[in-house]
Amino acid sequence: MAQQDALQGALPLLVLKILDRRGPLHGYGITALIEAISDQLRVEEGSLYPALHRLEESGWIHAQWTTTENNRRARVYKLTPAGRKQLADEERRWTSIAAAIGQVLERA
Amino acid sequence: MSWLSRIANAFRPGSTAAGLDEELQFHLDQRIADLIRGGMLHREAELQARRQLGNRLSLRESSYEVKSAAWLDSLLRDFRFGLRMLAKYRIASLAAIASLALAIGACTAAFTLIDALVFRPLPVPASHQLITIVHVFPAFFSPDNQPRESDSFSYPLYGLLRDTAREDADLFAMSLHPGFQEALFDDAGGASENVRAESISGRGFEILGVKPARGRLIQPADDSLAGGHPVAVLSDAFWKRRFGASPAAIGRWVTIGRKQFQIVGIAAGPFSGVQPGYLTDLWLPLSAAADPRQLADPDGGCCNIWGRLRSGVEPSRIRAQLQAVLTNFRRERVRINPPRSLHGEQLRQFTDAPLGVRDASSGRDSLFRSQFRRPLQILALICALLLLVACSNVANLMIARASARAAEMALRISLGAARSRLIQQMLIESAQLAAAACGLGLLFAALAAPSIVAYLGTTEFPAWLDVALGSRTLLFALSLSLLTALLFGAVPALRASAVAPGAALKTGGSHGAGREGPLRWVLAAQVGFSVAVLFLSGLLLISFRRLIAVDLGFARDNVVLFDLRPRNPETHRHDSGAQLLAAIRHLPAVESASLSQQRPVGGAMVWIMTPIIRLPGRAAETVRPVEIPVSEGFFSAMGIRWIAGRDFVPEDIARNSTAVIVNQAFVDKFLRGQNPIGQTFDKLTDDPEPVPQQIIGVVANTRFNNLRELEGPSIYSPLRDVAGATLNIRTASRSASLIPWLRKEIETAAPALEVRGTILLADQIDNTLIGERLLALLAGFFSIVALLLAGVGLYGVVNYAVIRRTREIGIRIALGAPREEVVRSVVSGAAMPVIAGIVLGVAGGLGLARYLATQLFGVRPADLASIAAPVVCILIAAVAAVLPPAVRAASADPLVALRHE
Repeated sequence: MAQQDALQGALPLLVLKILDRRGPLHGYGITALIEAISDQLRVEEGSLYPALHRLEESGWIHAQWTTTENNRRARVYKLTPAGRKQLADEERRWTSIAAAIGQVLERA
Repeated sequence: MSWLSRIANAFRPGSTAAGLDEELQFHLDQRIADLIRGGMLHREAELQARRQLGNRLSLRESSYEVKSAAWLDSLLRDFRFGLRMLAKYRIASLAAIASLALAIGACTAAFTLIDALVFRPLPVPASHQLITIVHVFPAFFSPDNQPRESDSFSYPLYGLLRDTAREDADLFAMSLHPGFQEALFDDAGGASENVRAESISGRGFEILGVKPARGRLIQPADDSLAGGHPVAVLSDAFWKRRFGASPAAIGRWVTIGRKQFQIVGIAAGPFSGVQPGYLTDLWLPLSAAADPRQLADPDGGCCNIWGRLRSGVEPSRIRAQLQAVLTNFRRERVRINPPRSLHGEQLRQFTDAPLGVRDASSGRDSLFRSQFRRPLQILALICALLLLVACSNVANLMIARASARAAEMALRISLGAARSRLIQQMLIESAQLAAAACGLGLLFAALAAPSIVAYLGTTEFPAWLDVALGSRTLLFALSLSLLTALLFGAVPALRASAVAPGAALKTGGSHGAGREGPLRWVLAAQVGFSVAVLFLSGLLLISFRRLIAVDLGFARDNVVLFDLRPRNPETHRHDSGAQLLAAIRHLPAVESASLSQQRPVGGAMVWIMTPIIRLPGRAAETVRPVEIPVSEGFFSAMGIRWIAGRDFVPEDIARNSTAVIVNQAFVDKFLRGQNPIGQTFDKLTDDPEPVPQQIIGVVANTRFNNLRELEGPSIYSPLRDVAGATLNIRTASRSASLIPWLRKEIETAAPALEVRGTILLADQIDNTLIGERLLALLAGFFSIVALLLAGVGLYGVVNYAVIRRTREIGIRIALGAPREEVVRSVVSGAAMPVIAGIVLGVAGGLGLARYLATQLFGVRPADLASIAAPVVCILIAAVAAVLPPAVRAASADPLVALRHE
């Protein structure tokens, strides 16, 4: 459970990072990738879609309906230039927080 | 995503929701496929996938909120739902809208009238800087012994005041009067017409800030005493009416009061003079239009002084300066030309009379304005009460409907709707009712206000008020509607949303939990407001009936009045009119003819002489009698009762005759216990010597000047000059049709005279009762509406109670309860609110009645009859409204009743 709670706050960051590295993906693809990369993290699927829609609302990602190889309509998300900038900011913030927490854990 | 697309999404929620569903379905299917690939059974995989995705509905909701302006969506939904509910309860909704529309319309019309008459600023720039100067006549000047404010000053005094105030304000003079003048335009082929002309000093238009629409306005050069260019400026409205907005009007000549003026321009647009109620047709330069002798008279009063304060100047600052000028001026005048009728303290009160600087932003307090301000205020009060009746009626409807919808509310709450959503829903329904009513009400006001204005005018003095729907009216109507929507919507909304879902669902639809409490309170309020409307209207109706039936002390039927003026004032010789009277009295169909200086029942339009008198061996009296010059035969012609003595004879017309006739009030006041015939007294005038008078006759008191009160002490003196007098002719019958013929006969018999105004005495009396008649008419109408609304409201509540209790009544009847018992139980449910309402209504009505005091005549609010009439009316309406549902309840078939629901 602890991992999941931690993930809640970081979910947008992970989504942006994955879209940055792997290119356009649909919602399920993002879930599957996060789970595949880290065997400790599991995406709360219920919060993924609202999070995706919020990112889209903020203009950081862009959504488009495309057709998959087995001929199904899927909604594919792509990083926008604004999203790339946001990702850099978020990553910096995350690293500095992680470093700060690490310091406290070491020296306390 | 932009705001635009969010709002667009709110209007087509279907497509967004479908998209969300499709995306989630795709996710589920992918997950299931993966799980099956991982070796899971299809059914198991499906369950697992769904568990992982979670509650799809709430997921959809939270994504949906991101994707569209949810609040707007919910408003739209509620709006559509509200329309459906209004349509579902069609009759009740229509009744609610109609009653609200009537009440909002009535209030809006009353507001528009009062606004146009009293509050609306004049259509000139920075109207808040406009001022007018007044002075106060001491109490002893007026017959009723009240100090009176006046705004007339002499032209020389105006000059002094203007120069003194120069630093702080620009003052200018106008000559404002309500009457018409005869004007002869050079394109009229010799036919004169009546115009309302005002004169204004040279800088007047400039200071007011009025611009010309065409040509030019009056300028300082036009207003020089050395007979400047005699010009005239037309008002926009007159230009359009008289000249069809033709540019050829400029350059034409018009003859007014024996002087010729050339039209040089049109004053722009909405400015139509400074007297709300009267439309000015044309303006003339003050010094060119006025009689030079009048203008030069330092003690005269031909000017009204207006001005504009410089910005930042307080009126109090110039008041002190101007007060000193007025006092010095009067003291000087009194020293040069000592008035014989004023001495000591009275003289000091006159010279040191207070001066006032009044805000004139909304125009002059014209006669019209002072006459109709109170009636219109009373009208507004009754309209406001009517609005409260309508509001309570609609609140009743909403509460009843909300109770009927308790189950719906409970269901929505248990499905997770927020209470705020339900309150929003109810308020939107109220707002829809109010909006519909507001629209219809504005329509009603737009139709009603002009007809009331037309009603306020007479043929002699047509009224004009700008009551077109302006932004002020719209704003008023909108805020009123919003207020009413909150008033009748809030309580039912809060109550309905506070339902306990469990209880409400259990008892089922029409059997909502005990909800009669608020209904009864609102019902009591509604009956109370209705009773107050009925009570106040009753007072006005009774007053009007008493007023039109009042014994005037003289006969009013078949009398025609002709105002006589000399054809040429300069060559006019004094003429007692004896020959004219003799000629007229010989005509067939004429029963009697006589002359009086003033029109009977002239109201405030006539100038009344009030001389000071001194009886032998006594000081001058503080009470001034009224003096009315009349011809011989006046009393018998007018049907005024003789008490003692004789009428005038031709010899009494002689200058040295001392004969006067007095009325009974004069005898009671000054000669109590003495034989009045032969008594003498002195009349103190501005002549050096007192005028000796001897009483030759006594007549009964009449209401010669004012319908509302028997006149005080009066002196009838012999009429010595027919010019300016009124000829009263009584005919055998149908006098109206004889007027043209009589007019011709008068001008044949007295070629030196012309007839200026003609009116039936009955019409003259009616014209003094316009305010009273209007109020009585509208009060009657509003009482019927209030009674109807009270009846409808009562019926609705009782009917609703009966439907709710159908089962219970059925059981009672089945168990053998007598039918009368059922009727009694239904009626007693309504009796308490009705009685409470009556008590509250009468108490409130008595409290409000003092605002009506000036309009009441021959009736007191606390009279038994004044109170009993509205109570009986409302009781009859209550019985008529309550009996049908009660009887229906009692005659119910118990089997049908028990199967109900």
